Amino acid sequence: MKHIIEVKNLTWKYDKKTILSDINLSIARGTLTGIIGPNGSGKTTLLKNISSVLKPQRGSVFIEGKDILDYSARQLAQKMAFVPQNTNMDFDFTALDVVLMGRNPHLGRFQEESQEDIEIAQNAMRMTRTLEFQDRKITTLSGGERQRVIIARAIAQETDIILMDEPISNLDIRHQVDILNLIQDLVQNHGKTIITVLHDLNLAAHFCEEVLLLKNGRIYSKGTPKEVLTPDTVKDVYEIKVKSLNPFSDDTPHLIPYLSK
Amino acid sequence: MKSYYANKRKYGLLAIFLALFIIIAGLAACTVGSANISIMDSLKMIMQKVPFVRQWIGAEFSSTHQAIVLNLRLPRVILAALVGAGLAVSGAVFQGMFKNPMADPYVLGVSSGAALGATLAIILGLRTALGGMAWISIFAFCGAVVTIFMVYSLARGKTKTSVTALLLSGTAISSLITACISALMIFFRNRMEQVILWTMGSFSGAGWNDVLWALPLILLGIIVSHLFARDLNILLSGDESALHLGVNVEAVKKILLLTGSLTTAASVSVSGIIGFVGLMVPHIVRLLVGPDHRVLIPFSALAGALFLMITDTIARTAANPIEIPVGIITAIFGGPFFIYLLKRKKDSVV
Repeated sequence: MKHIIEVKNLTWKYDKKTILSDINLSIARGTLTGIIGPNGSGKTTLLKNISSVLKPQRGSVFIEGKDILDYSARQLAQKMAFVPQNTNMDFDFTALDVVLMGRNPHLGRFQEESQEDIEIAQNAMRMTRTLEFQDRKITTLSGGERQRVIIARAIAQETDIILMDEPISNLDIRHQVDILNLIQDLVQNHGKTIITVLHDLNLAAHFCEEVLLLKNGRIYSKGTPKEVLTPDTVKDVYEIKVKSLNPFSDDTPHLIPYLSK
Repeated sequence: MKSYYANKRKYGLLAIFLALFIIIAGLAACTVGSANISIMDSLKMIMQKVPFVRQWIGAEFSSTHQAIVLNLRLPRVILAALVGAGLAVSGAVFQGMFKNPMADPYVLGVSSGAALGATLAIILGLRTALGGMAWISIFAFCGAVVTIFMVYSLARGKTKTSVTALLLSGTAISSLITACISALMIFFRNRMEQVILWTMGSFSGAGWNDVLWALPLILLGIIVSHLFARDLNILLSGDESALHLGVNVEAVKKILLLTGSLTTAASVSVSGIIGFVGLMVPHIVRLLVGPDHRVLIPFSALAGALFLMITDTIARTAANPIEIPVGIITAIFGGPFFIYLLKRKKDSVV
């Protein structure tokens, strides 16, 4: 099948409130897709429906052509990893222990982590520049450092698909660029399919091949960043005025909001 | 503190050392008691029963002395170790599952269900039953098991069972049952003392039957809990994260619930309700070796066994010839020790 992820007629409600209405989308293998939209537009909900943590009231999600409900938790975790927004860890595991949890879907009940698993975990930490923390307790790391450890955990899971919910919101600008470069590398050189919710429109525009813009639980627009991120669209969805610039004289639009009244 | 893998060898050696220490302490416990039997004699009597060693021990011992050491003290010491291990592991499992450091083995009402069963047996005046097993123990176990199912059924949601629902359900049903027990005690006032003594928890009168009854259940409970140790670690990051990491959260919670409850039910049915062990031992062990359940569970078992074995020995010898209920000793020794440990950790770096 051409598309690794397909969502058909997805509707999700919380009690009586409809959060997602009639979502239809397909994600091609080996692409980097950004989900953007205002707060409350349903981005995290959509991601969690794809990851199977939330079950749709109507519609279905298909991973590699198979309905997500037909997968066991273990099988699904071998195909998809998830990087959550909040990474509060109250327990004193070391960073390496946390990254090793990413190997869980590949281990049988009676199996222990092997030297190979440890190397996979350490490699993942090397990629996110967190190897130096491997023996430190995760509770002693800063929010940004913790976030990079969790991303390493997702990489160590060795899945075809990685879903990320605002993976760089807590990071400083250097690490934001570092991680986005890493994500791009994972897609281009390791063949992964990554869907990430992002807040920064310009970073999304620069790194994502495809962008899904949500408004009020519906897909307002999908396509390349150049197609989707225009001042008119942004005005309609975010209700702010922006100016579009091309500071690097390439095709990627840069949107700067008008700040003064 | 380094990762689990760096420390695995060290912990393995420590566990073996601790296990040996328990065996030695157990033998020592068998040599003390209200009957006047010398230490050497007690040890010799036990060694005579051990296959390879017995040929070196030629002495003859009186049948009463043998009965006391081999049929009273030895099974009692073993039972105390078993129950200590069982309660500590259940406590560790529930604390992990509920992500609540205040959880103990009795949090789901197992203790009150067992108490009701025991109360009924006491009121009906039932004594020994099938194969020498006391009716009180059988009734207590059944009471515990029925309560577990009631608590779970009440708390069960459509697709998942929330931890809060379980805790509330446990508290609700516990209160109801405790009210019933109180009512029964008023109507059968002549049995009240016996009921209260049972609930205080004690190993007096423990025999090999109790060991044979508790051993398979508690051992199974500890082994199953250890098999799910990695899942427990992952559950600590939250249900959603656990699902994303391939843990079948609903199934694992059900299994751990059942395991923890049955282990507790087995313990309570032979010893009454001994407090403190299930709550504090996992805490103390966690302060010393960390939150990783692959280490926490085996060490809680060992520490719980040692702790209850020693406190029960004190309970039966301290106020010779009166026996103090072991639950009182556990509280007296445990509380202050935990305060000391907490203070030490607070003053140290992080």
